[in-house]
Amino acid sequence: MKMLDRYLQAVGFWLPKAQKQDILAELSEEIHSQIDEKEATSGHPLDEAGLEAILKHCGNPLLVAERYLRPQPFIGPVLFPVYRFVLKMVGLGYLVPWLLVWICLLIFDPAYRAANPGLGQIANLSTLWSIIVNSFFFITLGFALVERYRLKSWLLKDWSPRKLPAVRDPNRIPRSNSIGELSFGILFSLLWVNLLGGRTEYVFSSTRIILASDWIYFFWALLILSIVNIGFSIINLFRPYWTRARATFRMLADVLGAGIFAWFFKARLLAGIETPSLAVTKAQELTAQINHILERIFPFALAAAAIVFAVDVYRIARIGDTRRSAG
Amino acid sequence: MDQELFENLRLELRRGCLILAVMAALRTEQYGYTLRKVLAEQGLTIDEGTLYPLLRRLESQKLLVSQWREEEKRNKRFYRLSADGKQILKQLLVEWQNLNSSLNDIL
Repeated sequence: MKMLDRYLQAVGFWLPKAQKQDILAELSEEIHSQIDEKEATSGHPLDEAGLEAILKHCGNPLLVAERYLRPQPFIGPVLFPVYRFVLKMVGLGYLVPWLLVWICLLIFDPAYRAANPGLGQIANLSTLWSIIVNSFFFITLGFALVERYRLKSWLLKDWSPRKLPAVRDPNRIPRSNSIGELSFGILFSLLWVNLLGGRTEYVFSSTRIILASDWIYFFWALLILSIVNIGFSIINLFRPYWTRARATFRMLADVLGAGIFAWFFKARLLAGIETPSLAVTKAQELTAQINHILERIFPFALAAAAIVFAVDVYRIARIGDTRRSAG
Repeated sequence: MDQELFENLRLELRRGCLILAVMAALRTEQYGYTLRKVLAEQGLTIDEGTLYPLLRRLESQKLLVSQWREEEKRNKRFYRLSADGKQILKQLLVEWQNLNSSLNDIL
């Protein structure tokens, strides 16, 4: 019945969350009744081709889902779920990070505040507003054209239940992810220790880089975090399911990592650069410039950390939801 | 083009009739699959993609009530006509009979 699960997953993808479980339960029951009838008629269990025929008769998952949705004026009901999905992705993938970066710049970057005094800060929001309007306009126009020229029938004409994506368990941690994280963690830790080795002075060919004494704290903090993450990846590799405890631990590790990097960007850890081709004053200017650039990265890093934190919190909430539905 | 036009008009004609048929059939409690069978036996085939959204819509309009119940080791959603639904069905049947008789006279 994997094909049926994949079909239901594909239908559910386009359904509103509030009605999804209910609609899928009813659709599943309908298909099971059809399977029972076919088996009773033929006297033997239904094979994959038989199930494929039933699913083909039920229809393309997108078309099945759209019949449950309210008809919308401009974009037809077939394309509306796709249209809504694209708008959501643009919002989450672009507009929300933009807004977060702007908020972080406003709060944590004095240079930005100085450059945009008073209402100038709010005026910068007009850029966001114009991005929202343009995105909405062009996406809507694109979908309206597809609707107008009936391209949807071309888009939807070929589908096969066999080609539907495999059922995804959101609480399962893919082994490939754990192996990737583990390999990266080990490689990073080895390089970190071998190349940087807890010193505050490094010489690359004829260039000497001098770091502040606080660099040692950063070195050890990042090494410990990396080792913790290696341990975490090993556990995930052998027990590849998110639990609430593990998701909370992941969140704490991410918060710790964000804190370490936040401090790194603000701590002005580069103390000096010495190179024969650069005069002392120029080298000092370069050092100040690099520290300044790192400080300017801080609000962006904070926005990225906020997104990672939101994903972690969502994961914990999702595990709670899964438990409640299982109960 | 003519075939497409005919198909659209046919669907329009069927739409109202199907609502009436579904409501009438649900004077007796049924779940979706058996309801489809009952209608099909009377010559009114309705595919699942049309029936289930229609049932949900009628339920949201309080014309039907539904209940999930286990039968033959599977959870099934049983629908029946609500008190409001019975009232509306009565009115719709009168309307249908009037329409039918007018149409017969015209045709």
